[in-house]
Amino acid sequence: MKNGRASDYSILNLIAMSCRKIRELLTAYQHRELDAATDALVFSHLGTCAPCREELAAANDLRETLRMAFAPPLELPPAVIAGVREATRRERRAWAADLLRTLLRPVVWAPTAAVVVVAASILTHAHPEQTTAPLTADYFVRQHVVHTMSLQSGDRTWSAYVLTSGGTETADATQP
Amino acid sequence: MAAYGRQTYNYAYRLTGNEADARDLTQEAFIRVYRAWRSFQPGTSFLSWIYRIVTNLHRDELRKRKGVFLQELPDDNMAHDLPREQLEHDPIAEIHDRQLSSAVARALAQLTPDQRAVVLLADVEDRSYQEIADIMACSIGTVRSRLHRARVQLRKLIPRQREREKQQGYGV
Repeated sequence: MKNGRASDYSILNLIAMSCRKIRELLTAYQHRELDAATDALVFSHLGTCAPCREELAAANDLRETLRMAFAPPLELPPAVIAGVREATRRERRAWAADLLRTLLRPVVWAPTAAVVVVAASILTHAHPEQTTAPLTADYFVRQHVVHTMSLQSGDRTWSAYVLTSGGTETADATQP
Repeated sequence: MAAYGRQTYNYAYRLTGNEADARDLTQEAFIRVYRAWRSFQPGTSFLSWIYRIVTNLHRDELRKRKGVFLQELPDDNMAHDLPREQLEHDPIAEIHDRQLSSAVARALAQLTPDQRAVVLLADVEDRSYQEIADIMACSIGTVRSRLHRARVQLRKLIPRQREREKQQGYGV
């Protein structure tokens, strides 16, 4: 067995094998594709049969002729690489355009937008205490007062409160 | 592409027999690889996969150029059984005639696409019969019989083409 393949010819058949049978096997023999037993029998036949040896020589000549016809190997032209890159880039662009066209179809974007709006609405109403205060000057002043009151006590706290109330009024008074 | 491009291009050149067709074939094969990348099974030979694509593309192209579905030779149809006209006036060979000067290439052009691919893979590319069977999507037995028949034909066709070129006055 060679490469796990079963023998094509039993030993008894090969012993009685004619030159015609051997020649049918010569190509596989030349390519080392026969199982070990068949290979050995072809080899021994070739040792005793001049016409089959000539046949093998002709097969080797043919192989050499084929190899020489295409030697040396060619280099890959840069135009092929450029062509493949350009074609694949074009395909990627076409794919992106198709995707965009699909997403922009009302059948797709309308339900998606509806889902987003509903989800946002649910999230907002689920945590009303987390709504953020508007970032006005008054907000920052009040934050400052709360912070100051938590650190200090006594007159300064009271002064800060007065200052806040007065400050807001002052700030409002300065508005046109 | 850097790793397999050169080998693929040379195989395409050997199949088509001319550089222009080999360039087109290689380019198209790599575009197909890009498109079908997800269908490649890891653990299998990438080169065998791309060779299979090249072989199929070449076969399709020849069918297109011929205008009709290319009829495979039956397995029992040996070269000496073919009418002489069929061997000498094959439309596929005529396409190649315009581009090739080598007797070997002309002889190869007279084989069926599958026979040509098998011969090139076994004798020039040194692929094992198992690899060839994978590339051609056929059994090892079919590879053996195609190879045997193709070589029998080539041994008749190459000397005939050489003689013809000698008569026409250009060398091999």
